[in-house]
Amino acid sequence: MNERKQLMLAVYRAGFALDDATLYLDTHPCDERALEYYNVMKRAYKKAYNEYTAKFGPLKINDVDVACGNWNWVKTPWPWEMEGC
Amino acid sequence: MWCYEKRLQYPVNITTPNPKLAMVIMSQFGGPDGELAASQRYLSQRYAMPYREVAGVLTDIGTEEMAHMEIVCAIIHQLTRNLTPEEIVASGFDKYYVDHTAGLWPQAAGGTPFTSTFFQSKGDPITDLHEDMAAEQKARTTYDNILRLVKDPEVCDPIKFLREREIVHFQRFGEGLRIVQDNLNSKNFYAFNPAFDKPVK
Repeated sequence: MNERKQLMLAVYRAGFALDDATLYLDTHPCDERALEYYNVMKRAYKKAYNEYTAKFGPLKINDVDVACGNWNWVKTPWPWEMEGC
Repeated sequence: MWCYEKRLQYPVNITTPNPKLAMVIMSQFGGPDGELAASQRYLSQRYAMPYREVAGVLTDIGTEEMAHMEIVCAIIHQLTRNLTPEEIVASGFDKYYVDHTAGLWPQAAGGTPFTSTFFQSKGDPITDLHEDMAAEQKARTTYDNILRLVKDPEVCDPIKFLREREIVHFQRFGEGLRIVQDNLNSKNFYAFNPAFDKPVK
């Protein structure tokens, strides 16, 4: 697996943990263990997300760095392209 | 508002096209128990939900359903790439192809177009949450039906993920229903509609 795929996998893993914990916390907003889990996963997500976007381009619009003189939002693959997964 | 993240919620990497299977999976895009109907059901129902935790469930599951719609569309797109006219005719994809080529258009597997009559937004929290729990089970059954027809592990994998999410969403909606009932008169949950009537003291 190449480095881009590996970093993307880390984004997927932590991102999904956050998606799942979000729904649980909506109905259990005071569950201390769930809040701690969310916090741990949020750190993992931010780390993976920042590593990915620094090397392989933006995942959200506000990651686009226009200082490079290039709107690279449209230069990286879309997620339904095989190369984007 | 929404913020787009340029990735799927779960990866899709399908190397072998299969237009016949794409036709079946299309029901989870634009069919009666599909992801488009799911997202619009929950996101439409939010405004009549008086309890913030449950409005959170509707918002966050509705948002996740949009990501599921994107996964289903990615599966269909990858199953219908690089087809020859001969493959299109042999697979039975020709009836879809003539109107949409290999573009994505929300319809059920049988060809019925997407319609908002696939879901209800009743303006009554108890009624809406029962609809939502039933919808998650119906979608789970549809994914079970799809899984019986799929042999390709590259297709099975994301479909299994989507199936599991239906079960988790069912659980969360059940908790939402409990929260709604905890806010109502335990002797008569139907004494008034908390989204519409003023409670009688």
